[in-house]
Amino acid sequence: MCQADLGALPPSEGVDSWAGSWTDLLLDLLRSSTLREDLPPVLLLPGAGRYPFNGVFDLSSSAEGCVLRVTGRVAHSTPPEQTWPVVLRVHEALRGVGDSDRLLTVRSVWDRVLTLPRQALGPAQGQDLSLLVFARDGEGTSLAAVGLQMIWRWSEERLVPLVPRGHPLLASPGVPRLPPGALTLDAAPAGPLVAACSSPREVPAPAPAEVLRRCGFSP
Amino acid sequence: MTGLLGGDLEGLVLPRDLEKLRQAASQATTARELALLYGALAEQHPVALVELAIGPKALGTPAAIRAALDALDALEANATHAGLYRRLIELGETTRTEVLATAAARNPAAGWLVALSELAEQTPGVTHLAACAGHSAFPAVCQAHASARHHDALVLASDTGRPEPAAALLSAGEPGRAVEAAARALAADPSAPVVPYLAATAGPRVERLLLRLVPRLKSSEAATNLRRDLFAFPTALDLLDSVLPGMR
Repeated sequence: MCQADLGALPPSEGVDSWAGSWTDLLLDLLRSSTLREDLPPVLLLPGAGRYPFNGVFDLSSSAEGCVLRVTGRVAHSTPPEQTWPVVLRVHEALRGVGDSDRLLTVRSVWDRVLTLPRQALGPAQGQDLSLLVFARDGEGTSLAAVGLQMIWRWSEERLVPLVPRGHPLLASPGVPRLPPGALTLDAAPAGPLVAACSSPREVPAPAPAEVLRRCGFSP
Repeated sequence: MTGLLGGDLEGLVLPRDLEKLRQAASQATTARELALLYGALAEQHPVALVELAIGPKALGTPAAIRAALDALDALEANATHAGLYRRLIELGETTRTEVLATAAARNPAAGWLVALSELAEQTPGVTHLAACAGHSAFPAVCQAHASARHHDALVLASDTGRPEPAAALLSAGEPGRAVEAAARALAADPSAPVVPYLAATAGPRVERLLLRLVPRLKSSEAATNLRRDLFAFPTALDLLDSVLPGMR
């Protein structure tokens, strides 16, 4: 178990009781991500403003040897109480999604997203959607995305771009007309992926400790 | 002298007669006398009123401060608001809360009230947050008090049923107090949208906190409302479903 993951801790333990350093936390997160059977987390860098995670969702599932993680952001410009029903609608739409094949799983996520009524996706009707679909089966790991400015992976405790700028994986935000293509990775990432949503401002690769702090992990 | 205290300023030449004014004011025996003088000055010599009410030799009696509070339109128009209220608070210990409450009621969105609260209150922030609860600046004011570590006041402000104090506490790195504030908001208003605000502040990994919030729920109505918002957090939802049948 990753001791720093707020979502994974039992109720009796708290991140506020964590006494280690950022380095300990990072190493623990990397180690736990590598050892776990499921996919490593995708850490979406928070946006600006008072509610930096408004509209952010993160869900995972596993079915018949295929594990899936879907992380994204939608309707982030409205107040949290108006955004939350949209987030719940996305969760509801993706409930139980999965297949034994990773590419079919990725495809079925898009199929469900594409058939969501646009008016259920907030005032922008889904044109502000950022989404990363990440699936692994016995044959490999694949991912597909829209609305991301950059995706980084860990390499020797540093963050390096997973793909270069301009790669089709870094498509503009919004519900696409057709399911985007999936990128199959040569090797499964050894640690969490970090992603930045599309924005007019270019986001530089953040320092590892900063990523953890900004993404809701505390030493 | 009686003429001045009655509000009759005829023949008064300022700033020459400022000391005469000050003497008259210091001899006032009732708040009404001062109020008449301050009221007349507010209309005819507002700068002299500022000097008398908050200048270096200002009177610090409760009556003088209350008279100043009655002449705030003129005082605010002729002095910086932050400086005005800070001076009034420094002038009188017994009237501090009254001054702060008036300042907050007239300027609910003002950032300077955060520092002023520390001068005037044992639990800084209580008065300002209460005055601001219905204002559009409330989220920003909560954040400002959280940055100033006015955590106790934010917890108390949750009794309005608003979710922003809990979010501000979480944003300030106080998860335990955020849970306490969220529970109090739900106790005050069972439909308070605490989950959207906590998730918008700390992200999807906020489920840990929600697991601590569920056992603190006091009503089945709050639990039922919360259940709708917990769809994205299956572990917290399971916990809620396990305790919901036992709640009244």
